[in-house]
Amino acid sequence: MKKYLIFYFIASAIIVLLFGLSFCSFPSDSIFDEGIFFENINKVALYLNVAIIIIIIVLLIKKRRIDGKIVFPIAFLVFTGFIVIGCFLFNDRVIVPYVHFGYYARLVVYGFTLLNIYTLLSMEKGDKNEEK
Amino acid sequence: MKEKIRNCLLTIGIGYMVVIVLLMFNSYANSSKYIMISTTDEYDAKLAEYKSKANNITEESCKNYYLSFIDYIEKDKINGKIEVSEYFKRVFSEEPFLSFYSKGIEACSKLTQEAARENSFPLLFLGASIQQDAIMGAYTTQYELTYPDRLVRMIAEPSIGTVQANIKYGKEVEIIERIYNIVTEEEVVR
Repeated sequence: MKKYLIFYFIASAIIVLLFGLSFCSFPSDSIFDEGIFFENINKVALYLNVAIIIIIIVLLIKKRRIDGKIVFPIAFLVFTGFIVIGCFLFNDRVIVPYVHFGYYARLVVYGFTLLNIYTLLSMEKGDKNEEK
Repeated sequence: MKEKIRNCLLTIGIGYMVVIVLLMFNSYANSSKYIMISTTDEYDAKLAEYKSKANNITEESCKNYYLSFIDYIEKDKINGKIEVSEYFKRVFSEEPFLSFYSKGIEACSKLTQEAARENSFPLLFLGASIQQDAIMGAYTTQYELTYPDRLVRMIAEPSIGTVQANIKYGKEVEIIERIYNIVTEEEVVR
């Protein structure tokens, strides 16, 4: 459980960082409707994630344990790493700075939403055989 | 039951991440096969019209000019294989004057949207325009904002505008030979 939580909270910290950066860098003058659509989806995903993180913390305080597979948060971290490296790698080939970064940050957040829901579903009652 | 849902979610989650990473690198890997098309601005269009009258450029010669150029870039003579979209092949064949006498950024943006519908990425900078940098910037910015998952490859004839765009946007613009060197002036004006 401890290992899972460490990776999970690292993932959460990265998401907060990514969101801060993507909000700062994503241009808002897109003339296409798709931009507005994605922005709305983005907000929903953000609020949903914040709500789930709060619920998870509350449940942890109430001594619930997590019975999830550690492979999910690790896969998420690897995924985020690939996306961030890819975005920085190709950033010098675009005119609008960090445009890929702003776009892929959303997809990373959707992945994080799945991880959050998984973590929530992995919450088990009681503290039977607490993880070493 | 809960365990099943969890396993299902785990599979979906990891599958989703793998697919996104593959799509991302695939889109970058394919970036070289897209070519964007921009035509001359209004000033250049007038100039081109004037020149065309002087040189008696016909619709047919315009068409030959574009088709020869497409043939040139598709034969892998510039760095990397490039496929020109069917949409632009059609535009060049059916309405060569439309492409040749484009009316500035507005027309460029219309062409961009049309190309976007066909999922193609055409860009060809024609004319040695001093304002070419403005068109390149406006055009590419618009495309990048709409399709941030794609990379635009900028190819242009050597001109003051091309050099300006290089400096202004810090984006590498590949320089090709002047089209008149590829398709000789006699062929165009025939």
